[in-house]
Amino acid sequence: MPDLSPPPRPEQTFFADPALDRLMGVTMALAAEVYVLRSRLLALESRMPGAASESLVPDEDAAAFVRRLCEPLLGEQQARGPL
Amino acid sequence: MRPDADSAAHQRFVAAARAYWRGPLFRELYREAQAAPDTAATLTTHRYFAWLERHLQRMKYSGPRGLSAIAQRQRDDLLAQVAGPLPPHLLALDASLAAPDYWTDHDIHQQPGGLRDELGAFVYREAVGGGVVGTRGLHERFAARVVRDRRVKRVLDLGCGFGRSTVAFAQAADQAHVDGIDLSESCVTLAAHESPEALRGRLAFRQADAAASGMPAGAYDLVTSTMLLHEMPESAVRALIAETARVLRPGGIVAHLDFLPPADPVLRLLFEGHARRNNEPFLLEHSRIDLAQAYADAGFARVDVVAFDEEDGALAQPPRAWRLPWHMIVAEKHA
Ligand SMILES: C[S@@+](CC[C@H](N)C(=O)[O-])C[C@H]1O[C@@H](n2cnc3c(N)ncnc32)[C@H](O)[C@@H]1O
Repeated sequence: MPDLSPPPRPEQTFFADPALDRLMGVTMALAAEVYVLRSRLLALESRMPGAASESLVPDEDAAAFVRRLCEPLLGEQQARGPL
Repeated sequence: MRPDADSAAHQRFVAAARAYWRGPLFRELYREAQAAPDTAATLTTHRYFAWLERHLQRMKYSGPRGLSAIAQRQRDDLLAQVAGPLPPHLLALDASLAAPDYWTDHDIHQQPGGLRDELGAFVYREAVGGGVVGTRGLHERFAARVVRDRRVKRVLDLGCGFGRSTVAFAQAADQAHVDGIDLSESCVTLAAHESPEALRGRLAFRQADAAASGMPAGAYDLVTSTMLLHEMPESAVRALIAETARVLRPGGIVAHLDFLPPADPVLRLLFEGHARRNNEPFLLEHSRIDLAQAYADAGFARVDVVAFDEEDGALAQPPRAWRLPWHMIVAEKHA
């Protein structure tokens, strides 16, 4: 296999504290792992006796998962309170 | 490519996150930024937008479930797809071609190894398969607009990639012979092998540099490119314009589909940021060229630059989603 890995260059940063950039990376890596596990679990459950006959649409399930994950990024109150 | 189930799930997650990034998160950012467009870069929402643009692209290509690793695991199968015999006219490789530095120094779009690796075209095709950059049907829409009302018999497609733009022109101009050239051996090889049987007699792919193509002078009615100019530094774009003038017949047409900075200050901020975040170091260079002057100097009569709606309603205000600022650049060589 060819070595495609580039010589290391420092990753770009976007937050005032670069610790946040890296922590965001860990958070998203975890989220991806959870989604992969969720997909495995759904596949297993769909094979259990008595499983619902209509199965989830994978792309729709992924979209709903991401909405739940990313909603806090919008920074909006869910119930109206003081600013 | 056929990824294992875990990698497919990872890619589904990344695609869904990208859809969230360019839809709801973009709309929130655009709304917040209207209050003070000049300082939009410091908004918290902008920081998240920028982070996600950069890193969702990394998560798509890199790591054990990224597209590069998926392709490497299927290396033998993929290469077998482009190993069979071809009609001799369909593909010409040039092992002695010296690739320019701008093409070798950066991994464009954050694709590790760019299109230089022999699996590069497979990875690139998989990455755009979902229509993330080029909305589905974009190539056909562009080709139809360019060819409309024109009789073209010979077409040259610069930076043809794995052949989407080349094939679209062969379909739009149903009598034309279309040559596609690209620096990437992987791309022209995949393009030739995947070209539709019915069109093969009118297609040819060649590994060559668009700025010094080696194609015959005055041979083409139409020279076109799709998403090429923005990958080249200014000096190379100027060389490409001169080369285009050389290979076109008098009265011939050049038509590029590419990106030019939006006037809207918030969209402009995001476009400029996109250049760095998506490893497109030359994205802003061709927009610095006075195209009208450059084409006039090269012997063209006029140049029209118009915004291109890659799908119906794409130019709506306020924008529904983050999009690349597509433009058509069309010029006609003096008769
Ligand atoms: C974004 S891709 C677009 C491919 C294709 N036109 C399409 O629309 O799918 C840009 C292509 O331009 C090629 N390229 C970049 N610089 C080039 C040059 N100087 N000569 C020929 N091809 C070049 C790259 O290798 C890449 O395949």
